[in-house]
Amino acid sequence: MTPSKAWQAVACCIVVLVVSSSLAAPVEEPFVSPTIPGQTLSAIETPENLAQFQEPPITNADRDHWSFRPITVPLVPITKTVSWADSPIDCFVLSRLEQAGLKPSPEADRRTLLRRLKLDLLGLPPTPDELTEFLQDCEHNADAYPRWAEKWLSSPDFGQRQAQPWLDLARFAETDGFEHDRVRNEAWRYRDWVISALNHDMPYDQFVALQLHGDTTGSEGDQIATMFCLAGVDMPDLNDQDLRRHDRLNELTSTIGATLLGLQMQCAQCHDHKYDPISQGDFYRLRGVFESSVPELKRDQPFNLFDGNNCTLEPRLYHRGDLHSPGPSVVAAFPRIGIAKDSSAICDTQRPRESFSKWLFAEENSLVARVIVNRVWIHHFGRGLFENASDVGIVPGGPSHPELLDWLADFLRKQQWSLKALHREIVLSATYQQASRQQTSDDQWSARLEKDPRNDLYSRFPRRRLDGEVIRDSLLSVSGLIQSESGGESVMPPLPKELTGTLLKGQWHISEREADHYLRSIFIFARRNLRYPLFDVFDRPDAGASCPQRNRSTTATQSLQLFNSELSNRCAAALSQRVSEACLEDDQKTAFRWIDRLFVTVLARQATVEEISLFEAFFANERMRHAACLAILNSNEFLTVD
Amino acid sequence: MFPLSRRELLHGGGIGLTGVALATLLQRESRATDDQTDFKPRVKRVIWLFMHGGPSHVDLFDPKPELARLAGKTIPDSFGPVMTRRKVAQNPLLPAIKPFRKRSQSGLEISDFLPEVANYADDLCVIRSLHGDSVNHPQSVYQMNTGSVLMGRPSVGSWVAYGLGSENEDLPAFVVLPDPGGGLKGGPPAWGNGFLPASYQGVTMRAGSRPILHLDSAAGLTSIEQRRMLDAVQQLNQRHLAQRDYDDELAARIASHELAFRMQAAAPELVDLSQESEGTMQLYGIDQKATNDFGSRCLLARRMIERGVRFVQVYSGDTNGWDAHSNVADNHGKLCAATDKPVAGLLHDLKQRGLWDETLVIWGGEFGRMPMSEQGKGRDHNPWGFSVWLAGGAVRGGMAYGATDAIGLRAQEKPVHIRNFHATLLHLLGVDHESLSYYHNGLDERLIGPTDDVEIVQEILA
Repeated sequence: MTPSKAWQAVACCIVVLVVSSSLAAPVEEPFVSPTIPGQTLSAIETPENLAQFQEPPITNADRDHWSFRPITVPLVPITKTVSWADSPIDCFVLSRLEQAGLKPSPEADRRTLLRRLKLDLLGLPPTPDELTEFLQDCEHNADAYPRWAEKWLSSPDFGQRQAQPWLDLARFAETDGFEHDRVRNEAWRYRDWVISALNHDMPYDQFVALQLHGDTTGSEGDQIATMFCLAGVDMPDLNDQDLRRHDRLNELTSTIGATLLGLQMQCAQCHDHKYDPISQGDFYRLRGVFESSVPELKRDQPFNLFDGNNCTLEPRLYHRGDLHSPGPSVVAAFPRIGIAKDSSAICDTQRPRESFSKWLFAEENSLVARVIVNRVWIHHFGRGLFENASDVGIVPGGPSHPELLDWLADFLRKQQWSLKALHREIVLSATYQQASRQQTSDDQWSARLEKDPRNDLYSRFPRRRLDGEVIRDSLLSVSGLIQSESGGESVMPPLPKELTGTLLKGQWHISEREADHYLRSIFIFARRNLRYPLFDVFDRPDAGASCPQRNRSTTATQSLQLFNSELSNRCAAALSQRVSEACLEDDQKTAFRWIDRLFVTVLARQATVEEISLFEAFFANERMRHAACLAILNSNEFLTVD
Repeated sequence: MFPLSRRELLHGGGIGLTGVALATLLQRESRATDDQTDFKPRVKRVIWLFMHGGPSHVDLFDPKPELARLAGKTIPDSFGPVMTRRKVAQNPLLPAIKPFRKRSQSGLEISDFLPEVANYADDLCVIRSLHGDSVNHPQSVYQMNTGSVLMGRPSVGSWVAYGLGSENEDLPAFVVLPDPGGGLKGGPPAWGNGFLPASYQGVTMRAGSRPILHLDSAAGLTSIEQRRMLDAVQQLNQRHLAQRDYDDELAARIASHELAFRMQAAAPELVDLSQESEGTMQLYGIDQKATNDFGSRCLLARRMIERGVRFVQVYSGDTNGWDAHSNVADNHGKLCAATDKPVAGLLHDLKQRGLWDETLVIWGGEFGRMPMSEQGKGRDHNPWGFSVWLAGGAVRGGMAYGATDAIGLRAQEKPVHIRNFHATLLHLLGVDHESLSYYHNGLDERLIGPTDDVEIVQEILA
């Protein structure tokens, strides 16, 4: 097959690599073997080179992979048990449980449910007053739980919790990384934009659209959203500024592929994806969507927001991803596998980003809705309906509940992409409200453990450790130190000098106002070269690449921090004082009252008789009361959501 | 390379792998036994002396008579265009600052900059043809440490910690001793865990009374008070655990609390140099001002590997470090004086304590330096060909492997890409670079990247 035939072969799917005029130009320099270090390669497009880039066509088998099939509107299954389901979600879950001969777990007790709900939605533990109020509310009103859910969905704290997973995906930090790790002055505005958008329940299609092309809406304030595309690492002092531009374009293409489409495009910057139907051409055509928006960069000049489409550099493919080995020219287009077989979806090359954004949310796009509903699901259940949240390709296993996934995707569309509607539907489901451990009078528990050992069927609520940011917010909240101010420039709480010593001078200015040290975690300055230590040990991603789901490790350095750090001990001291004051108000400062109050404040439950006797001796003096507080703050119960 | 159950765990749950968490905590079940490595390991531990900033190979380990002949001239056209960090390509060539001499039995040539290390020439295996991909510090620091010029990949030490674990239940597997001057170009991601679990990242330690962050109670609780507190919380945790089907993840935290408590005792003992003899202190130059800091950290490195830490990195050089742009004689003069005796002392000490055979010592920076001058007496970065040396029972001593071209600009004979260097390093530890992988975002990621184009440098193996 001659090269031109090769391109015709893929011409059936919209566009393709368009061979540029330089193809006909005589070859001036030989293709230099890359084994000689430091040798620069020249741009050439020989027929031989082009021939290497025969693009594998998309086959019917490719299209038959679960994620590329159209989203169906599945019938809600009919189950034997009829009284359990609160949401269609439950029918899908129950149907599978029944097939396995299992019953769902009973509802979690109220205080567990309250704590779970608030930590999930707001990233904060319930206060003793809220606990009392909620329990009374439940006594008198059947709709107490949905009302509390509604209240918290409308709280400004909602966005302050929900923004972090999105910032993880956006590999967001407020500095460039690399040697100088310079501050991006406007970065906090993007963080505030995300919080505000989530608080106002901006529809997901609009939320994404503005992050792709907020600079073109004509509305002031939208441009900041485009930081999503450019929030990755950058080296403004790179010698080769063309390489800097190349790296940023490739990085943003990979990030957008992974976060919005669940496609691991990054492999294809060097070669066709080994398993998935993503060719190198697909990668560089998608990059072509952004090519005109990234100008030629200038040394030491930041470039963190889009501002129109002014660059005239021609999109092209690069052999092995190497800037110095340019291949044939390409035209901006969407990944072929995402385009339905008979679709006419073509990228408008005049407004490529708008066009891309429209295509993402078009009826025929089967990926975007599935990917985002799975992310929201992960937030509440700690695991996805499919395993790798940013990879819907061939290698990972398919969805555990394919029909539920499609039902949720369809639901989100029908709700005009309202993410809060999705959160609501999930937290109000009976599936979500199940107990995570055996309840008295539940004789089915061992059957669940036996037949559903990994909880793949959601036969119980999956317990999980809190994220580092939530742990810090919880520490500050139960000790009463937390400040509710929000928004604006990020703050820098004190750090051990051993850590600031690893930075260049002046890279961590401790915020002057002490109150600023106790703002919520989302407002702590995100320096790429120095993660805040508590977040670091609790698996906050390093913002080097988009992170779809955090690791959840358990390490001794976590324990060292939680027992010994200035932060933990300041919280323990404040907590001890707070509990003592509360007891004085009750006029009953006895060991029993004090310990009980401590448990209610930290764990949202009363202490048992055994626990009172376990901690009785700690009541003796201030020093031991401090130790008791520190002990409870290090308990598994405090650090996990049940 | 792992037993199936572990691999299943890695692949199975995706994230939040209790199995991995437990495995890390329970590293006492040393995974470095023969049946779990891919083949017989030649060494068990690594000490990596990282000369941050880029020491000049043409002034230290790679003699170039041709450079003396061409002194003051511009680089001959035959070398073609050169990519440099600064505009130095047309600057006059600068010969070696100090003379080279043939040393010891092997006659390996080493510069007068390093008279003490030169005494161990017969033990050094100098790779003179290493090469990387970037003329910039941070990218090269990342590449040397993680295999990639990009930020955020797991470091070699974290791969080794992940693959082999620690031999000591009270200490981390991967420890970093940064230069107290701070300011490594690229920062802590150089010893980061990337997408591996956080438990595998390099734990920074330092000399003095506070070797690890948060080792002491900020409230000044005594060890006895801490034990009482820990007993109370562990009783709570045990009861909590029993009500929750003995959940692995909860059990892991109970174990991690205990490990932290043990570390509080083990770490100060580890850094307590008062247990060392006066002779040892002199051997490392700890008694001299110029060599006190680096000597103390080399001695700490020895104490660590003695206690089963798997991978220790000792950094030399603050923000500028060995980055001799303006004056090689001054810069290298100072840094060689600070490190020469300690490094020689370390080699001697490893031998006399019987640690030599099972330890690999690596010396090198993120790149070398250009044959052209900069600002008269300095040199710019050169990643295209430079030297590192290895020492220890597993490698051949007194040899130079590969060569740069006549002026030391590019690796020419038997070039060794950093990827191959990493693969060789893993090989020495008994780990196959192909099979050491971690399932991440749908791919089995490896230290050496996606390429199949990797070779072990067989000739240097003893």
